[in-house]
Order: sequence, then C-alpha cells, then structure tokens
Amino acid sequence: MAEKEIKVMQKILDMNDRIAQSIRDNLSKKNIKLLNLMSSPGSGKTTLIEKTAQEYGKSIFVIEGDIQTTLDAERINKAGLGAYQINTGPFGGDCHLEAGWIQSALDEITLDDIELLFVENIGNLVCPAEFDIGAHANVLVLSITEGEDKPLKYPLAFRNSHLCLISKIDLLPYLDIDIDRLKSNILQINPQMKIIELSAKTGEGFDKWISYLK
Amino acid sequence: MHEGAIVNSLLQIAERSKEEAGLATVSTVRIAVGRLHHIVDEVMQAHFDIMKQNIAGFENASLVTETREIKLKCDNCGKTITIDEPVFSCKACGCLSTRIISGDELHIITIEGS
Repeated sequence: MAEKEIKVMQKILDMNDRIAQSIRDNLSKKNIKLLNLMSSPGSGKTTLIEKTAQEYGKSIFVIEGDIQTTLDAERINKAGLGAYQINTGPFGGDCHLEAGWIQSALDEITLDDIELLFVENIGNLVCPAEFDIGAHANVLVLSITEGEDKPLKYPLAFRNSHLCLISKIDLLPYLDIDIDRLKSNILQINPQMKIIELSAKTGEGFDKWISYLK
Repeated sequence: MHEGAIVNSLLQIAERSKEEAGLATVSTVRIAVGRLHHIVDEVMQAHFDIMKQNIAGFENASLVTETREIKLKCDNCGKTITIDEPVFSCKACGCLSTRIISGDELHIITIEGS
C-alpha cells in the first residue's frame, strides 16, 4: 500500500488544555480563584502561604504538589488551612503538575466557604511552565538569593506568569544582588508582569500581595 | 523531564489519527516545536523510541521535529523580528509591546504511513 500523508494539526497538549479550561470555568462559577505558584525549590512558597493565611484569613485551600513527602501539607494544616497533597511518585515521579492531577484532587475535596485555591506546584522552573493547570493566574515566586539571571535562564516560566513575587527581601543587606537589574530582566521577558517585593519573615510588602488577592 | 508526558500525549493523538485514517502502520510522526518551549529533542526521541513499542503500528515510526523560530510582531512599528535570546522588545524601535506570532508551537503536523 502506498504511503499516505495525513494532516493532523492538533495541539499536543490539547487534552490537558481542555481539562484546564473546564477546571477554570467550574471554579469561576463558584467564585473561587485558582493561583498556580511556581518557583525553584526553596524559594519560600510554603512560608508565603503560611503568612498569607495570617494576613488574608482562612478562606484559602492549598493543593500541594511534591514528588514525595506530605511535609508541606502538614505545615499548611498547622497554619489552619485545608490542604490536599499530590505526590507524583518518589523515583521518576513527574516534575510538574498537569491539569488531570488537579481535577483528580478537586474530585476528592470540598471547597465550601473557600475563596482562594493555591496550587503549590513542584519546585522547578522548567517543566511546570509548560502545563496549563486551570489557574486564573500563574504566580512566580523568586527569592532574591537565586540571582538576577534566572528570568533569562527560564524565560518560559516568566513569560507565562502574571505576577512575580520577589521573596526574602529581608536578606537584601547581606547579598550583592542588583534588584533593579533583576526587575529589568523580568520585564524584558514579560513587560506585562506585575512585580511585588516581599518578605514573609518581616511582613514587608504583604499589604500589596493581599490587596492583589482581594 | 516533561518530555515523557509530551510524547505520551502526542502518541495518543497520533494513534487516534492513524485509526481514523485507516492506516496499518505509521512511518513518520511530524511535529512542530517552537523554541519558546524547553524541549530537548534527544530526550523526546528517547521517550518516543520506548513508548512506540507498545502501540500497534508504531513500532517502526520515527519522530521528526520541525523547530520554529521565535518571531515577534511589534505593536508600535509593526515590524516582524526573529529573536535568538529571551528579549521580547522590538529590535527596530525598542518598544516593549510585542506579540509572539511564532515560536510557541507544540503540535502534530502530520503522520505518514500506509
């Protein structure tokens, strides 16, 4: 039989994108805002959520994504918030969350009186940026210890985010980082990016973050 | 290592297309990958070579990747520019407001088979 060429022209992540859109639509109907927190490991995402619970109130639920351990979910519970832990598997586990993972989590939890749903994505600036998980906004957390060059090294994560939280700014006096250069590197990748500098330790900048959430 | 998830998705779509077209075997799956994506072709190929073994008619298929350059259109001067580095401002007029018109592709173009 002769070789035939079949036109497909379909997005490879079409199925993921459809699930993501349905998650977004369903949460919008319930007036719940889903924020996808992406960052490198150790940028302070869990600490940020703990402090946010103190400042914003308890109408927050957190879906935790990790390859292994329930440590983050335990910390979130201690902060008085409901949490659901996704473990993608200890060896060779996925380094990112996909919309299907989030939908499965949503099938298991109830979100009565919840206004904000945080997804703490797996700490990694490469893979999570590729997948729409149904968030209303992607929030990139970058701690100042990571250096000015990160936007240039991981442009997709910065391009696909709506807000960048520059965390741990209480450490500024001890570091040589040029924060203006960092900000200009961020804006060069994504001129529309909102930027908030904050510290979960001192509370600096949290007024801006909380008013963004409201 | 998100390439495994991407290859898994593309094989599902390719398998459905093969069924719909009534092909017995597939020789080539051709995809477009924009340079905005963090995708390593060697890793894609390695996943493809393993995963295809479990799909009837794909055992001898090859994955062909067409890389797409990142092209921007400037909202201010209207020029189209190709960028090599992650600087999304217009090289011609310096304006920061540009739109990506190419480089974010991640789709299957065609499958070939008989």
